[in-house]
Amino acid sequence: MAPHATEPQSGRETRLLILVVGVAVAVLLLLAQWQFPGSVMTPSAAPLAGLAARATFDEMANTMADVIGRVSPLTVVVPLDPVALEEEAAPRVGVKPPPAAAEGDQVPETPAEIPPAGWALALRVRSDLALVHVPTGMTPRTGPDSSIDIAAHDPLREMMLLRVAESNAVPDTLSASIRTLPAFAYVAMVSATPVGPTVQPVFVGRADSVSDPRWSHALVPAAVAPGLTPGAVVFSLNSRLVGMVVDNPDGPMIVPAPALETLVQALETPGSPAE
Amino acid sequence: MRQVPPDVRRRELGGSDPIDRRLGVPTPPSPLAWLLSLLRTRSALGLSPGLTPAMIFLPFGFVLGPEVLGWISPVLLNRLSLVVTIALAVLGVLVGMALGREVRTATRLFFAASMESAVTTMMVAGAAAFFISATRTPLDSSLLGFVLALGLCASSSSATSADPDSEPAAAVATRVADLDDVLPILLAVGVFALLAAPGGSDVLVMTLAPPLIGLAVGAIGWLVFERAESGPERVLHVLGTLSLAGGAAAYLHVSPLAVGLVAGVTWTLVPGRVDRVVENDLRRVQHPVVVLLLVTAGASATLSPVAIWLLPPYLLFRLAGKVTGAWLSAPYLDVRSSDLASFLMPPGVLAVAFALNFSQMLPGASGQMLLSTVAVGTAAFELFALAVVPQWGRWRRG
Repeated sequence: MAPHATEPQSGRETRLLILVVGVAVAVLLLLAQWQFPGSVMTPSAAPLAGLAARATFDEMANTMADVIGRVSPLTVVVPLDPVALEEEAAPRVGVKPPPAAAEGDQVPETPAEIPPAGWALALRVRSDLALVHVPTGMTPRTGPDSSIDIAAHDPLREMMLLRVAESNAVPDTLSASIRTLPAFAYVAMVSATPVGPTVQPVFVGRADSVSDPRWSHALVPAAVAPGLTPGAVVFSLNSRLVGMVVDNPDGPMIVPAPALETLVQALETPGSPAE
Repeated sequence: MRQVPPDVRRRELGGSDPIDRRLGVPTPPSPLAWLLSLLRTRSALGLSPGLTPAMIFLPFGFVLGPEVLGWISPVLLNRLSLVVTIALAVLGVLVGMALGREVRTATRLFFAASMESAVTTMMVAGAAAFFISATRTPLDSSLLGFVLALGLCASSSSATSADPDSEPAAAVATRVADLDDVLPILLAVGVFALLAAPGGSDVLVMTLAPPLIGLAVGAIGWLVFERAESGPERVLHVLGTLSLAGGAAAYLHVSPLAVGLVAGVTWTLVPGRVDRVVENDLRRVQHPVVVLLLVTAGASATLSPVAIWLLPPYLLFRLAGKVTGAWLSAPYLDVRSSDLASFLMPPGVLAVAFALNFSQMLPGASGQMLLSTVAVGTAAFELFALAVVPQWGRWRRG
């Protein structure tokens, strides 16, 4: 045979081709009779639907929805009470409880029925531990009905480590965090509301840091991003932890994730000064 | 049948390996010894014939990954992303150098290989689009972009199930397998641009960036490699240049395979012996790169219901696509189409490389689904080829 001459296909090769393609098409048509089990998302109606350019604000809204969906399992909304109210509510040793109210008497309001004075957002750092910024004069509402318990308290930094209901959704909140606050970029500020965590996009301008002897790593003034309030947790747009906003004598500061990690390790260590 | 010249039997991807010569390939007395010998020799690590690395390192990575042991955590996988990108650029260079050497003398072969890969891509993409639409499979990305990505992953072949020296058909299939990755890599540039378009990226920039970066990297390599004063300095230049290729691709979110391809072609076509220099130095990192890609892909794979759901059409239509592509291109190669199709069954490392490449660009769930489907499909086809190809050859001969 001359080089580069084409060789006609034998009938056997063609029959093999028809058999394989025929079987593939038949099985595909058979499998296509079923719908994907539990499908909640529908594919785009048009194949090119996903390719159309969308407005930037739509993109930002989608990104925020994505962030809150991803980080919500990593957070716990904690009701806060004033410290004095909490002390009144706590049972005192050696104090006789008041007599039971007679039938028809007006039952006094218990502290549990009083609306919380505020809400804080705790960040899960372990499967059963969450870190939260609690301002001076406030304390998390705990009690027999609550799944929250104080594991460690650092009054100097106004931080608490809470024992919360165990969750498998924690894993690498701290270790997978962003080590430095991105400058001139949008971040997601996640904060607590009575109905759960919510998110806002916040633009960070300069991100110059200042040192604070109370923290292991340099802090960034929260003024670099208007709208950041103490207690909020800051995430990047790809849902990685950036830091937490805390009160400070010099104004609210963003504590970067590595400093939070160091603090958690200190609070977990029995007998540490922070405890 | 046309006789194949001896020089075409040597694969450009891989080539001779000192480990093979030192250890040899012992006759397997038992299954365990057989497996150990494969692990010891380059068959288990490189792209040469034998039990392919995909069959060993994909399951190995899966076991080490978050789904089983968790030794490779999601954080580690995230941090490996840039390394994977550089490794993809290295693979692109290997394909580019193979193309650069063949393109002058084997235009017809290149045409046939491209036709075969294009047919496979279209058949898998078409079947996947129909299946996803008909079964309302959840998808959080553009349907067109996703099915094209899946089709391009399916088009890759490695022809590693038979020794290229064993028969002329295997030698031709080996060359086809080396060249059929070129068209998918070039098409992947367009798919990357399609996938990036909704995010507001400039399609023109996304399309032009890979060749421009590749040419720049090629020019840098041409200028510096041969002027190195010592071997270690030269190796440093080569690795630095490849890191530049991968890093630039990662920064601009373009295909590192295409960047590496253009750089590889450039090094082969420019005067001098730059391509030989690169080939020698890449031989040191080729096996670790292959292992890294496969283990990372295995660890990233999750046996999610949606990935398993997509597996039957992927397997069926990759098989049908390869048979059809071989039937159409075999007349130009003077081989029997069934022989060519059987040798092209193993997808090889490049299928996994394509999947890793696209999974970096697709939204999370779609990328995960694509990578898992292709990883499982690759292992299945490698196993299928290992079982079928020798039997097919025996049946055909006797």
